[in-house]
Amino acid sequence: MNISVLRFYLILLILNFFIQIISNTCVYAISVKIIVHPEIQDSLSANDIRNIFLGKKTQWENNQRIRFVLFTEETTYRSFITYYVRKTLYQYRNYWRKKVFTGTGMMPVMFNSSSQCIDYVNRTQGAISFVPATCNVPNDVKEIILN
Amino acid sequence: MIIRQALSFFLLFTFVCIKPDANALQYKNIHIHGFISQGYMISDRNNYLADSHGGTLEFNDAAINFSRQLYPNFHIGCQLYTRDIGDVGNNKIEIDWAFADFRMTDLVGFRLGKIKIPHGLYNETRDIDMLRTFIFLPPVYYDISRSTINALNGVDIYGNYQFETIGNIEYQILNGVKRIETDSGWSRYMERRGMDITRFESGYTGCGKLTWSPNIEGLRLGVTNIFFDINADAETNQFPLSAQYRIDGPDLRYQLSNFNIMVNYVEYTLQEMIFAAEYMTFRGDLVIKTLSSEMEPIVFNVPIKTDALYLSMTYRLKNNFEIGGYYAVFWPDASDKNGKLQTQDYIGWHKEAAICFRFDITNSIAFKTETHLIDGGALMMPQDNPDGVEQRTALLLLKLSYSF
Repeated sequence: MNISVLRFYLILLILNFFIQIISNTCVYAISVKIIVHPEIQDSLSANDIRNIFLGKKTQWENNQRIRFVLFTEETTYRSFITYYVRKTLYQYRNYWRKKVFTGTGMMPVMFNSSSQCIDYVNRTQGAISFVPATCNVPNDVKEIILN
Repeated sequence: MIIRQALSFFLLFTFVCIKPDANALQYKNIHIHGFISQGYMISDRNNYLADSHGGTLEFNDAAINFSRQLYPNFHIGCQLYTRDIGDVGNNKIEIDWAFADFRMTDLVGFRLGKIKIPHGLYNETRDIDMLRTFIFLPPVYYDISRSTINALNGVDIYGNYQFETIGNIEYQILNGVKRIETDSGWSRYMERRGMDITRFESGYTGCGKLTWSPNIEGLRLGVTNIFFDINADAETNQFPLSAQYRIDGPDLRYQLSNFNIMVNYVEYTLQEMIFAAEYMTFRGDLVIKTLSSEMEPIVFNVPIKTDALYLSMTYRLKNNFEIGGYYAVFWPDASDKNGKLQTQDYIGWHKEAAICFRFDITNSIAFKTETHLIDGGALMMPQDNPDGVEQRTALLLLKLSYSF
């Protein structure tokens, strides 16, 4: 086997590697709805959502403190973080662990049941969370509209 | 000693009693997190950071932190940290960080206490093994520098702002003082130049960090800068200034002024793949003054001009398996990259290629194995290699970490 054939195989291998990465781009069906406390504004931008769940945006427009809650059922959690926060679940967990181990933040509040999330959002001023799209949300919790 | 035993016992208790996937402990409203790791390293020629030639287990660290949210925008916390790597650390417990954090608005927040210093992308998390792929970070974060750039006592002003058009800007400005112990890694670095440090004095320290995340998904760029001065007394028998000159005999006082470490960095995340590159410049004026009572002091000025860079890539292949590699270069004297002024040319550089495999046994337990091929002796300590430093070294590292 001569050098040019080897080189050809090497190029194919590298191309294959990158094609695999691109094809692994998971387009998650966004089967989640974002819910907020009834007194919160009706709409948010994608950047707002991302910054809220990264702890960078900490106040609503009326200066009320934002309290976000994570719903940790695997499928919903993964699709929300991938689509809205633009990180993998592993990267997102590490992002918060970094804050914990440098003292610059505390782990977010987490629930593994949608009813707990809804209940928390309902009774906590400034709260925001997400639940599966199929989940019935009571009228006293507001669903957010994305700009 | 009692505190050390108590901490060891607590960590051991935690390790044994908590389920392997534990997230955190909580006592009332106090959140408790920690980690413990044990490593092994072996090298074929030079000893690197420890007595690695014959293989060593003198390579461990552990930490435990306590935090409490007092108000929605105000929390306090502290972390105790201990480590042993060769002659450094020796499992002495130190306060790694301890501060109060008040986030007034998104744009402005304040921290007061002992705060981690921003230096490049990863200095604040340099001790936390499970947050990264690699066991050893590249020489931009070389181990001996830890004591100098780990944390300071002072005030931190920080914040971020989201611009619609250009993206997110984060900033951090720290001002304070820092203390360097005489048995720190910095002392070991000066020891290689023939100085046995007897007293350290460091005054004002200032740092800044600016990170820009433009509207290109996964990209962030930034710069960090650290300024400070060090005064030190040292005993010396022989201090080599270069291949041609040396100071014999009298003790020294040295002053490192206008000390400035700048790191420019870029990181790009594409799905499970992360590319990072950093370039560090370390500048300062080293003024050495002899301290002999029998003769007039002689003053030498030695400009410090050190550069380091690396390129790295990590890729998470599966949920629990990750690979990574980097290539790094360190020049202790950037004006002599070919080592022409050194006794042996390869003392003038340190070039390193590393490849790492990380396996997450559970969400809390990680095992890593890493190989380094090193060319050059710039970061090999002569005191670890009394028979002389060889040009090439291969290093194998293994590390097991548990965190909660």
